[in-house]
Amino acid sequence: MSNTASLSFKKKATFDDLLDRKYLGKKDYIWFSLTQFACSAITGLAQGYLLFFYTSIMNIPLTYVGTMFLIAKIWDGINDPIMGVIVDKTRSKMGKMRPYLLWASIPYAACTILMFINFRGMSSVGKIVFMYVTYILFSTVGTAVEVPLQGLPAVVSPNVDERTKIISISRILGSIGEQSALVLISFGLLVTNDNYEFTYTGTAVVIGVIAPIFMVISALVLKERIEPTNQIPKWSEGFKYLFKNKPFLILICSNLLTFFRNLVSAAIMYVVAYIYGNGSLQIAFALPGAIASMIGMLFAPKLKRHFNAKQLFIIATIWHSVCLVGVYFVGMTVPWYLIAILMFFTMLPVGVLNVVPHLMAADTIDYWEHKTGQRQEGITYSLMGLRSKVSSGLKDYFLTFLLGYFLFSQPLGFVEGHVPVQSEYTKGGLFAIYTIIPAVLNLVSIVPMLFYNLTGARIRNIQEELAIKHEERRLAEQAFSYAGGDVEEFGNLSKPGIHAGAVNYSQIREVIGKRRNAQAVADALRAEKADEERILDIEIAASDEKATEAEFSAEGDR
Amino acid sequence: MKKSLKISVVVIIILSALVALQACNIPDDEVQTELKNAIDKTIENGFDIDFEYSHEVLELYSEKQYQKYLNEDDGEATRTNWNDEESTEWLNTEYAFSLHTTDGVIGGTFTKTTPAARDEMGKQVGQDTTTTGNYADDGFGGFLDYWFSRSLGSEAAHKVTYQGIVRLGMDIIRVNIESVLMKSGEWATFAEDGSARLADGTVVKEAGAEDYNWTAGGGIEKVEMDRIDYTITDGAVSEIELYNEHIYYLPADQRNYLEGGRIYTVDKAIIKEKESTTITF
Repeated sequence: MSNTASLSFKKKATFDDLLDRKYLGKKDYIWFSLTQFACSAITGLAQGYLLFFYTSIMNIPLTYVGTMFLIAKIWDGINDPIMGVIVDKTRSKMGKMRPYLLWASIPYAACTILMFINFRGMSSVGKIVFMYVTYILFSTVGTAVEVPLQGLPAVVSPNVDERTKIISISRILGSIGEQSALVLISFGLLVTNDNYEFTYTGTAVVIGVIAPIFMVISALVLKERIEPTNQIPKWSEGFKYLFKNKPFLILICSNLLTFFRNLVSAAIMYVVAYIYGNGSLQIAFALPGAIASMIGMLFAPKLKRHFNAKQLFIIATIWHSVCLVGVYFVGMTVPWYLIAILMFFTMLPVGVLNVVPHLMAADTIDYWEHKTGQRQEGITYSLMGLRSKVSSGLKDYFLTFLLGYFLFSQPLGFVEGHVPVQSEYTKGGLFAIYTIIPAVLNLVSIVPMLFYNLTGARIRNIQEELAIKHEERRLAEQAFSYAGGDVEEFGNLSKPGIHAGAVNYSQIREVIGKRRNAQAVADALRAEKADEERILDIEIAASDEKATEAEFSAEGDR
Repeated sequence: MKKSLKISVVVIIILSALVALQACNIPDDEVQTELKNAIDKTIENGFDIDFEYSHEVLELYSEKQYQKYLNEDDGEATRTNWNDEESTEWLNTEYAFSLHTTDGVIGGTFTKTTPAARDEMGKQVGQDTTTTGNYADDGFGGFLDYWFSRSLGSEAAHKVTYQGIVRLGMDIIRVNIESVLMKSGEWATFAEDGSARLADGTVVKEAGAEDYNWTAGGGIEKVEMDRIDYTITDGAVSEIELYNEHIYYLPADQRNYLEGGRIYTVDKAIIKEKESTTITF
């Protein structure tokens, strides 16, 4: 088949042909999801138990720990977009995401274990320095793992359904992973008769040993199937991108406001400890909610077939809010298990809401590539990560404000295991933080979403055109490769400027044509049993830039 | 929309949110005055109220504990452990108040029910006793007057802090009172910086420290943590919710995990008294 024929073939390929093509196998789903599980297990352990480890096991004063978390969070906010740009600048045989997953996962796990070791004989100052060094190292290496990991689904397949599926499945496993520390620590405390230090360190070792195994295998097994565009982004483009890509900006604004929703899970410990007077009920409240959330995630891809992402976001947000209002009016005087059951149904849409923004982020990447020719998964997902951290910071700040507003009494530091009795007003406030306050304020996140327009025919057309473009590029690259060209040379023939990354087909056709002609001459000469050394020269020339000369020279010989 | 206009809108929204959050609090310098005015107005308006007040005390039955540890054969049967739920018990003294105002003066009666005594095995000896008396003889010198006075920070020995918040149609003022009673019977006085000192200048609590230097000045008898929430409607007190804990330093078990779970006894901060009531006007 001539190069012209192959190019004309791909132009006839329909949208459905291209988008329905399956790129991912079972092993892709399994390993990526297990990696998400491992990563979430580490973040679940660090976010849920490190504060307690520092203050109650290492006995570092609360103010030092609080200051360190604040500084580390600011650094985290800075290093996320930096990592995003690093990823987008990366060009390697493995792609731009996988190398980081491969090489940073083991240090990440090592930092996790190190953080949960209480070295004996260390001075107070030494402990504080150790805490700063290990935690900041942990968050830095963690960014190097998490930013590429979040970006991977956008490049492993051009097929939108496959992307949706891999994001949904991995998010479910991620949610389970987040709870793994809760399960391991509960079990550990039971077995060791409440030996907190041994249990915490042991849990960190178990997670720290298993997690990098999944990450490394995933980095080796997965393939980045969407080639990076050829223009390497500038460092300054990180935040400019946020404001230039309007749908993405809307998505970020809306998602920032979802921090109100996170008050529900953050308030669980307060509700069980101070309203129901039993801290161990945490698992009874958190686990059904987590399961419900996973079920929601499981159904997200199916729901996506009937609703677009924007509709799903709005419906799920309203559903969640209406249920929370219902729980508020049922009241806190009913038995705890009734509230736990009601919260199961309340948390179902949260699973959908956990998946939808990632689907929308993938759409905004497509939109940006369609508009500019650049795919910026790295910066997109790093900004999504930054959004998550800012959102978490806002949630913590707002929760602290609400606890103060409802006159929450803190435990007395000098009374071991002190559980303060809260006033009725405070109890009512805690229940409101758990229910009606997030219910009402969560609706605010819908407002920016009303302006999001990457829906229906618009995004479908964009993805159709991109799918054809990607297929053209893939086939052209394949034809170019058959004709003796290499990937780097192919990349050099891509268009520069605003449509950077788009293939310059006329130029490529010309080169392929010349090469094929030279090869054809060589084949003909071989058929005529001509001098083998001469044929070899023509073949070598066919694979380099002197193809045209070789062709003419051979013609002359004949 | 122009860029500058967009930025202005965002800034206005953020500022409005901050102002709204700030408006939720009663300014610190106004809280005490508002509380005083509300208490005055409540008495001036007059009231006729009934309420109950509970005073719980933790008792340790030494013989019961000794027998328990003897049965466990741990070789340290003579130790004292105030953290053992099996050989301790909360005994509740209950008051029922019936109060009213006459010409701006609080009066009325109280009924006090004292639990029967227990022997060292925790067995009840005799019956609960009930006494009735006039408001002024209730042991507080007038329960409401006592708490109003403490809440307004009338006694320098107690550290009083306020927090006032605004709700729809009402204000809530929380009063926290922190006091340290020494074994000598004197109260440690709180300085501006939060440190607590005896009359001779001995520091029993460092500024900013959470713990108490309980060995200084002959030792601390107890630390009192009082919390009183006043709900203020139309400028008068409509409800009071009082809760406090008295913390003593008492011998209790400490387990050393590094030495095979060996148990030894140390003095620990333990809640030994609790008081609570809700009064609706």
